[in-house]
Amino acid sequence: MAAKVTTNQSSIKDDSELTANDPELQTNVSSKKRLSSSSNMLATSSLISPTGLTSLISFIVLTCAYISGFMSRLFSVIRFESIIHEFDPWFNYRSTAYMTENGFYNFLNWFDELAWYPLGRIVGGTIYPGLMVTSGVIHWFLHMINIPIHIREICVFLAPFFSGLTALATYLFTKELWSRRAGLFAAAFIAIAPGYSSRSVAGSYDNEGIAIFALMFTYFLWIRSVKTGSVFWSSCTALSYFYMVSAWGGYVFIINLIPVHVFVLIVLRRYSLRLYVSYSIFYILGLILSMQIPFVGFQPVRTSEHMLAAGVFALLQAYAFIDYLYTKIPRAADIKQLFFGLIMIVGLIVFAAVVVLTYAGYIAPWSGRFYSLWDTNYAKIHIPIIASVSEHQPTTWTSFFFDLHLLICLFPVGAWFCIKELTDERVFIVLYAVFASYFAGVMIRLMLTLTPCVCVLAAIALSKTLDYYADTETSDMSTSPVVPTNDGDGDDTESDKNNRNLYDKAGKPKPIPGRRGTPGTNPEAEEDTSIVSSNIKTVVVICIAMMLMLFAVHCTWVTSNAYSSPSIVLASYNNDGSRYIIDDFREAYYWLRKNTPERARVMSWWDYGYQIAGMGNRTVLVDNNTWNNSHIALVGKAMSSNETEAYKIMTMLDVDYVLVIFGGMIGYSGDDINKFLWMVRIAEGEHPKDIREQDYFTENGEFRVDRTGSPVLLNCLMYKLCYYRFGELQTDFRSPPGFDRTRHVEIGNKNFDLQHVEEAYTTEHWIVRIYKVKKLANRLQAKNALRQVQRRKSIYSTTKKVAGQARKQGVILNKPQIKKGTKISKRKT
Amino acid sequence: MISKVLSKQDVLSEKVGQLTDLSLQKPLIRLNSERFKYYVTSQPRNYSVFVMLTALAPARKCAICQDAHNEYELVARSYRYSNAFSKSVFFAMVDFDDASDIFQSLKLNSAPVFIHFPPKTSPKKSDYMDIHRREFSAEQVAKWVYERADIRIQLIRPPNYAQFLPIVLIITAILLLFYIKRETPKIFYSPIIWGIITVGLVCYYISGQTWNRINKPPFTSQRKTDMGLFANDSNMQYVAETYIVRKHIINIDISSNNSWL
Repeated sequence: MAAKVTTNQSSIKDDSELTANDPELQTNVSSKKRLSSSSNMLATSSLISPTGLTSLISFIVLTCAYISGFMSRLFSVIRFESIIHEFDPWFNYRSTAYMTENGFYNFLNWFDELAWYPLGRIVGGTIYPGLMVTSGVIHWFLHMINIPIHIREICVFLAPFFSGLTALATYLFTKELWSRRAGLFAAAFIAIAPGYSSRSVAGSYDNEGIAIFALMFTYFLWIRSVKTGSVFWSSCTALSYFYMVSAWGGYVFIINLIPVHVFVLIVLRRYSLRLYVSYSIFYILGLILSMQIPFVGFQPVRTSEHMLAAGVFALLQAYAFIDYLYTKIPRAADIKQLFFGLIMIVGLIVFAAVVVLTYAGYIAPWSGRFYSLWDTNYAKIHIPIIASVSEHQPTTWTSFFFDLHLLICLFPVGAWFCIKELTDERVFIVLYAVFASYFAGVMIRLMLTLTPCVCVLAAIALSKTLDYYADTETSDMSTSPVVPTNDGDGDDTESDKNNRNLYDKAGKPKPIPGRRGTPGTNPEAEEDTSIVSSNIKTVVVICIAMMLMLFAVHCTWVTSNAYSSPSIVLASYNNDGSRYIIDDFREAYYWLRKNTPERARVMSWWDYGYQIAGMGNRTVLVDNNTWNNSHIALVGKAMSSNETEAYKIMTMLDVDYVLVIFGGMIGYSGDDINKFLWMVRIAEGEHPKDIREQDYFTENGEFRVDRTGSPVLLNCLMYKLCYYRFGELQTDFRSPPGFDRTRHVEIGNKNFDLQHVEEAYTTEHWIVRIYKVKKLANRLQAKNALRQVQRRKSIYSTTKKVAGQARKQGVILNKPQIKKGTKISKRKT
Repeated sequence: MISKVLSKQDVLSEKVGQLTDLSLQKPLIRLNSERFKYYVTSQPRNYSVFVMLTALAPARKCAICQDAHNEYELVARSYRYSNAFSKSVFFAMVDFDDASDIFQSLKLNSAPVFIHFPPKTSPKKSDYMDIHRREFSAEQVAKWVYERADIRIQLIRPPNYAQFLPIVLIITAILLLFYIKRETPKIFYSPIIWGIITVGLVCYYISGQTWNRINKPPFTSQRKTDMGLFANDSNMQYVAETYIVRKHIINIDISSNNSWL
């Protein structure tokens, strides 16, 4: 184990060097390549074939990007251990483990009775199985070739593995859009960008880890199929889309963005047969494939989120038909306006049909989660459970900068360049940029979908800038926007540009080969555009290289410090820099696993549901799959009422144990008291008569736990469970007993007893406190307790008889005694 | 004795009948001093009354009173046309200029005040709506009504046409532009225009304007001691600071673009 750790450390050292050097490498690469192409252009006497050299360099850079992407995500494994992080990954891990044990079909039919007691959860129909299937397939494959790896290791390292693949997909995507050099930049960026690594560090075993790969790969295939118009590529797009649907609910982004692309292309009069073929095939295949996922089911034909795709499909068919008529009818140009009107009418009919169907109830309206993206205040008012999650908050500009650093500044530049030289596929990236930045602004979590787009556009901007500045030898910078290169892709873009004016003559999938594109053919442009001297160019290149280095340093720092914490193991640093591990969560869950009855039901706030089920193997009432708001509200109500009321709810729900997270002892801020107001709010949403948020505030409207706090708060169950016997504890000599370190106050209600629950376990740092719910108390005994006396007498007499009998001599062992059958059993025990 | 009881019931039914008529005429019953005493404070009463005490006259210079009145009237109207409408709950209002003695007798020196008069008893402390902690938006008032009188009012807010106005204007402008330029539609395909629009949108979003729209922060730091343009907390930002950031991003764009022009 120790050896393993040291190797890991050495590798991470390499990695940091590598990431630091990477952008420099990049600039070197591009300048080298530039040199190679220019040398090719000037004289073909070079010894190495330039094509081979560029391929080799691309290969090396991509390998480096892959490795650095993988390595920079291993901080948490090196610092802590190979462990599943946070909340949702625990469920994914548990179901993956179930699937590898019981097989895929049992997994699809799995009824999970550990969750949502007493309702349970049908897992197969309520998850996106792509993640589990992916790691299951890897597990199966490795076992087939006799590598007996544990499924947990696969789960831990799946996200870094896939982020390397994302880098490759981004490279391909950018190569289709712009050039190979920009692709290399984009691959290097996405490999280390914190916006993406925040969701894909080792151990963060969540859908997003593989979904971003699927997203980028689908986009690449889509661009490819739009460019070629081939059935093969669009079928591939549909397949990749199917993988995305099986992996993440964010597939809705694809199924809306691609139709928007098609629609905008039609509006911009860029319709072509290529577009028709690729979208029609993609839509039909993608629709049928996506309906195979049980969780998605009939949603693609029944919900508003998918109606854009259907509407655009109908519109495209109509457009194609009218376009066909236009070419067939003689003198169609005279009645051009008729055709235009026809198309408009068809568009309106499609739109009206969708609206009518929605009102008639055939199509479900936008669900709350999606609707809150448009109406930004909707969730705040109507769905507190969505608003309560911190990653559903809007994004400040600081988080944009924190997650994307230099790239966010280059991002609009890239968008500008793309618009200035618009082609069919660049329309796509521009739309992607606009929509993704809107969504990322609304919800901090969707920064994840913005990151690839930012990487691509920043790479384009940077690559175009460097095309000019890194070329210090020649100044062939012409007004021609795309710097022609001698690889095939440059050729493609160039010819596309030339074809743009001919777009109306549809069905021209392939550019004429060898048309031109060698830079030597435009010598007149070479005349004099080099205003900038070569020295200044060098300076600029050095500046850019330094900025990129800073970017790499920033990315490594952010990934290491902000996103690599497993959050179930906490680390604190002493003054001398030594590290102190706080492992209370696992301590508590392990206690639950070992010391409670197997069928015990644990009540906690929903955040910890997956962890209790995953690590503690006990039944929970609510968990992170927040599908049943009223059940959660009931738990919230129990937590926020006083003990007697709470006991009624707890007996109603068959609760055996209550688990709370308390950070006041060591100053852990993510504890239940800080989340408490959300519990109150959610409870209030369902039970407004019993729970009122104002009751938990002081007169001045403050939320305080000290002496001035509201009496309702100081007597509610959550408060009592958190602070039970905390008043006896003096954490520090400078502070009074019962001093809460998270909220920096002395608690208000110190000496109280618990009536219906009793303390069962408290972890080392008091982070997790577990209480046992007592059974219903006996009735109070009557004053003249005649019956009680009789009963005690009889018990007493029997025990005495047993004792007396044992002393008797000559008693035959195991002699059947019918009258005193109970005694034998007694003796046995 | 019997006649007295009868007369009491008569009074009660008369009062209820009159109040129902009044609220059918106008959802929000406007009371003066005598009617307030007759309907609201004096017994017998088997209905609860929600009263807003306010000062609507322009001379009183109560700016929020008008807003509160609009919101309250919305609640009353929604109640009037809803299924929950019954003879046990009424909405009323009292203007300071109509009945200043009521303000004195209730020892009120501010407006607006919302009070619930429960049936039979006089209002307790919890029957005063706490407008310092809650806003007096219609939703909050309806929630308060639900807490006090157990009547759930489905608010029917008349659509606010003003918020559609800019959208309609923009669409008309675009259509107009189309119509004017229908002979030379080239301009719609000009990448410069689309580029400016796109980059503007992108910069708008990535500089955190959505956050401003949702959380409505102050323009600059509110503390007297320092005029901070930038917030110290990473979860906070001021409006001014986002403008600066946006400007910077655009500057960077322009400068890097200049090297190309």
